[in-house]
Amino acid sequence: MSRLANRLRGAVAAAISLLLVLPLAGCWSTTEINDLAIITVLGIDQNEHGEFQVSALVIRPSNISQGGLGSGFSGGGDNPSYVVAEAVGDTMFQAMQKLSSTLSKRMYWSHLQAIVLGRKAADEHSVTILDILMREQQFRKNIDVLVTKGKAVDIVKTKPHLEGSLGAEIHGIIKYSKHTATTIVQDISHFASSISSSGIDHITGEISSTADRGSSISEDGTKTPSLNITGSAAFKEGRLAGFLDRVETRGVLWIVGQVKTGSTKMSCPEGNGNGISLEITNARSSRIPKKTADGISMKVVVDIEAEIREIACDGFELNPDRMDQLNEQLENTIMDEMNHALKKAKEEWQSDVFQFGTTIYKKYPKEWKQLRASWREGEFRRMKVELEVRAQIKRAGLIHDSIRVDERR
Amino acid sequence: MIEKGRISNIQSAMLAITSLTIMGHLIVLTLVISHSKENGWIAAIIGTALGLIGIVAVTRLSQRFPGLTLIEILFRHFSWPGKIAAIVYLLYFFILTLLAVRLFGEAYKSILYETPLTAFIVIILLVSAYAVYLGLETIGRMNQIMLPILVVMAIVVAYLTMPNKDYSNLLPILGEGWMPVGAGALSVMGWFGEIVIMGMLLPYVQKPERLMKANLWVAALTLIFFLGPVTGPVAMFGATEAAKMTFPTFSEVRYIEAGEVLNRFDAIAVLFWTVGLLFRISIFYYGLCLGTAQALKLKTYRPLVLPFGWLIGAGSLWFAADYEEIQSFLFGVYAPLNITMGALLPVLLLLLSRLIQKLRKRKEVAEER
Amino acid sequence: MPETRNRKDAAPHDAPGKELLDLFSSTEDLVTRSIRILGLEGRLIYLHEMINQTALTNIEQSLTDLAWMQPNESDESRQEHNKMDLLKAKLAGGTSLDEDGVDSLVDPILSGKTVLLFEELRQAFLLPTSDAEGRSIDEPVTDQVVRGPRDGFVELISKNLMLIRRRIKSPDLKVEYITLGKQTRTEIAIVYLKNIANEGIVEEVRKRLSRIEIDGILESNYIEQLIQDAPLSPFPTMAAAERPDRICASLLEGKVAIVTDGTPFVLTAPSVFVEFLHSNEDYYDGAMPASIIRWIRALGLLIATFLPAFYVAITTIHQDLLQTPLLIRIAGYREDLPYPVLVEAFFMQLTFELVREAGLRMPKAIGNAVTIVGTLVIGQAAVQAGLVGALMVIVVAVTALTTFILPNYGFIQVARYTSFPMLILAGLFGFMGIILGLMFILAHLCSLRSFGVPYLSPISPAHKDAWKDVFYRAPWWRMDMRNPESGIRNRRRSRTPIPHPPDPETEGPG
Repeated sequence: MSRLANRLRGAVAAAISLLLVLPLAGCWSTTEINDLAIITVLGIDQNEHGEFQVSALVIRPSNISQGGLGSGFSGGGDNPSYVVAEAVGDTMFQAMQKLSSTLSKRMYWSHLQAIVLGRKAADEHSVTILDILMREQQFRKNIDVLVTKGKAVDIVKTKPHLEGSLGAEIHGIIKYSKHTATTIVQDISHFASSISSSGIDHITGEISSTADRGSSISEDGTKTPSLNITGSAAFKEGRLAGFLDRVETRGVLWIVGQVKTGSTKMSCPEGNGNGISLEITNARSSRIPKKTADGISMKVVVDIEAEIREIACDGFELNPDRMDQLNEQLENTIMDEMNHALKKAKEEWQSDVFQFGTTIYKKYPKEWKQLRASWREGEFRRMKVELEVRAQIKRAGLIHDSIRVDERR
Repeated sequence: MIEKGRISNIQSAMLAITSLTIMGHLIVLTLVISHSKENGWIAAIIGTALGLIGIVAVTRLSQRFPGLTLIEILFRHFSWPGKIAAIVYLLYFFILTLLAVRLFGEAYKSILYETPLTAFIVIILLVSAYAVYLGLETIGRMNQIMLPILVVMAIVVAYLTMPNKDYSNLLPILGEGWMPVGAGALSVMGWFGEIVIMGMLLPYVQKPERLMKANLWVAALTLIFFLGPVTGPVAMFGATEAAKMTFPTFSEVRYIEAGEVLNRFDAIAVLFWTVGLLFRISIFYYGLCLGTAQALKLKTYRPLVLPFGWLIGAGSLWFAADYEEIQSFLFGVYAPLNITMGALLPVLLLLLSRLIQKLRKRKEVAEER
Repeated sequence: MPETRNRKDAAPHDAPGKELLDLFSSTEDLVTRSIRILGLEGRLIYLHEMINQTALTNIEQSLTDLAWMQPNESDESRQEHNKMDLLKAKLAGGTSLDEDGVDSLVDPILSGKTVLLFEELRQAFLLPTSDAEGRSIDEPVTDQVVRGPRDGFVELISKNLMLIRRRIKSPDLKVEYITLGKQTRTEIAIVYLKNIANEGIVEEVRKRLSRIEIDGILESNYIEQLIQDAPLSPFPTMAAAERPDRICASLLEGKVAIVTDGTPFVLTAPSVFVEFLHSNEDYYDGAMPASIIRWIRALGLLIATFLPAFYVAITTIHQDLLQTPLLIRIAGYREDLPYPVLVEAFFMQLTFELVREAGLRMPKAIGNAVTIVGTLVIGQAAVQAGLVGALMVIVVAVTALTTFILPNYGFIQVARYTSFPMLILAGLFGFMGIILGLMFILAHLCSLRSFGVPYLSPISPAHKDAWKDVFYRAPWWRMDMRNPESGIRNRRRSRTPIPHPPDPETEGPG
């Protein structure tokens, strides 16, 4: 019985001594939540002196009034709930460190929702930027990376409209842009894997202000700039190759197979009106490499289903023959888009955003080894690409023929 | 026999699975993916087949000398070379235990990087020592409850990450030839060599006759559980990137974004690591204490628990100065060490014991004449 | 009181009456009266407050009215002898002072019986005058159900045994009496069903009870603490109940019950973990609602133990697990608060414990209300004063409320007091700390046994049959086998087939 008591005494002593020692060292990895500077958007630029310019959107959590448990959440009002902090440094890490010295809270990157690269930074420093993005534990690999034609800082400073913070706004725009199939956005992990792979070149969405895009949002009667993600930026071997507009981007999407839904416009078959608009409801594509006498060629097969959304042609009637016509027309439109993309990326830039290289590797690894060395120095350009599109317009919405003037008696 | 507890066949199999799987997910995964890249799964299958050698040898050995643990067998039946081999085995258990402890610390340091390594080591050893102190039955029961929970969670995670995976990343098959696959397979075989620790537990199983079947199941299930992690990160991130990651499964789990609610599953990775490593450390710690007690012919292994705790803690800190040294240990020494201790030696012992038996029979026959 | 035992070597009971009175000297509530029965001189000795005066008067009356029917016997000694026989027949036996000694009369007097002493004839009789009053049978305060019987145990062991016997009318129900406590001489009864209970467990109970050496047993908890398996463990290994239906259910499962005089709480052994998450009501409700409630209870146990720790871990170490809007909102809440979350959590939990404990002592009318509302009000005030965050108050209040889900009081204690070390672990190591704490507890549970039965059975070691009563509650027509650990003799509970309406063809109405 006494041995038991001794054991108990020993255990208690050990526990107490441990507990006493540990708090002396402080509670190491804990950070109070209100000591965190929550950053939701990060912009990386390169300024005239070749230094890294880092801009971060820091959330300022608004003070919930301490008037009791019943009071509501007071919104921003004129007090914006975020600030933009900027800093410059020789390396990116240095710039980030300088950033933290201006903030009264500890930098917290885990809730980052978007990273924007300025044009110059994307062009010259993608690889070094990626290193820190992959290494730092706080950057999650599924954060989207976007490129802008101008400076990232300007994007970061844009005021958000529908959401509380710019990060959420960008995140939302990206999410729903999948439905319009006008852009392709990739995250850090894809960025890294495409850059390191010899068979893919990276491509990601391009973000810019709407002032020059034809759509805008008005607040209090004045038009304020908002953001728009359309088109994409293509890379080649770690450097920026160029920007693709929405049609060309759509072409890439078709080939890579990432169209989920989207809309297309075709001109009227008789040329009497504005055109017919369709919505793509289902799309599948596959890339098949083929071995031929003079090397490898690639066949791209695309299968689509679509629905008619708007008929703006005079006197247009729907019947099976017409449908066949329309189908063919759709197929041609899509092929056009793909060709545009191929022209720009394959012929002009030799940037393999279509993942052709990897596709060849997966099927003919030995042949790929030979092609690899000079892939982007001519082999890619030389490769023959065969396109095949099969389109099916299935439905036309709630009405059949369109409304016509003076139709009824 | 110092340990009076008994565990059922299922419990012993589960203990083996837990302890192997966690090391697999944490360490062997990086080895295999960096060697064999996208063909890791082929390496895994081949490696498992090779690993069966060790498993069969250990099981047979245990069945031959019923009721005796590995150390006891070596001490009693193999005279002085056996004693030396036994001490080598004890050192081996010691090293593997402190490796696991150090890995626990390193893994957590990557998330909670301000906490000193010592703190992690202290706390995992405390809980582990408590479990070891309570005995084999306790450890077996705990594992019996926790392993199904872990398996269910793993399946959930696998399901949730499916939309992000592109399995065509696993092609081409044998793009680089057989060499990388071979290297990976050897790592896997080495990994399975760790099952030799079961030599310390098998004597306490309730139905020794059914052991072979149970251990074959262990191999099969461990392989199945390993296939997920060896294909997942590659499918998600591509082979080159996956090979560079220190903790591929962790990165994989962080990627989950199933709708707005179920984000950020880091906690699950934490659960896996903690529980899995806890059991692994406990089993090896237990084997170490029990073996030493049996070698020193003590009545119980309990007084050894605390001193060994200290030794393991100190050892894990001195073991390597930084993570690079650990990496070089893992890539260089780990597999061969395990293959020797876990496959070669048991096979040798088995053959020797058969030989000795035959010699003895001949002697008896000769004496009868 | 002087030891009676060493009196044995004194002169053999020359004056037993005087001896008896000496034992009770200085006690003014011992009454002695002379009585004349059948011409014999006798003395009534009793403790004034322990007897039922009416009963004594009735007995006296019937004794003095005894007529001696055989006046013809001339021999005086024969006469006396025959009178003794008559008395013995009427009063059901008697105590011979030469054989049993004066000491055997002490306990009955203390229990409220009256001693009728015939000194020269060296005979004593015990008259049953014990006061059987006491609290009336009513629904126990600590254990109330919506549907089910409304009687509860009282403080008298005889009534309690009656409540048990009325439910289990089987000759296999065995009762064994033991007296424990040197000063209190409390009567204890071991009750079990011989054809179901594990004889080994019954024997173990007997053994452990006989090892008890203590001055007083005032409550069954004394016994529990003196015979339990793991005195250092916070987890209870024996269950106590105030309801006879609960005890009888346990008896039917093969458990052993220990009834203690002086307290309505009856102990049962062995008890395992899952039992403490069960309530009798589960069996009086349908299978489906009962199963869901079981899960809610298990969830409640987890919440009560881990919620504050979880909150601390998420807000201080694992902030990346929150959704961004939630993170921003919580950051907003905590903007001007002075203390770190860990300190706040401790503070609030402690406050709740204090209020709860105070609430127990308050008069019933106010008591319950104060506990919960009081905490919320204090919490609200603290929030307004800017000391703690509103979210913290919610967390603590929810934790406190869920502890009351647990049917067993011992478990509630465990949950509450474990939440404190969990807080520390969470603050230091985050989730990993919580999980390690959980593992620590699990290790402890796995090593615990209750009278030989592993504490976590039937989960581990796994007995699939018994799972019907653990993870969910199977309907009665499926509960056919008992838990093998305790009901080892008799596995089969019922043979009822699944209930069904009469088959129109074969059985048909009319």
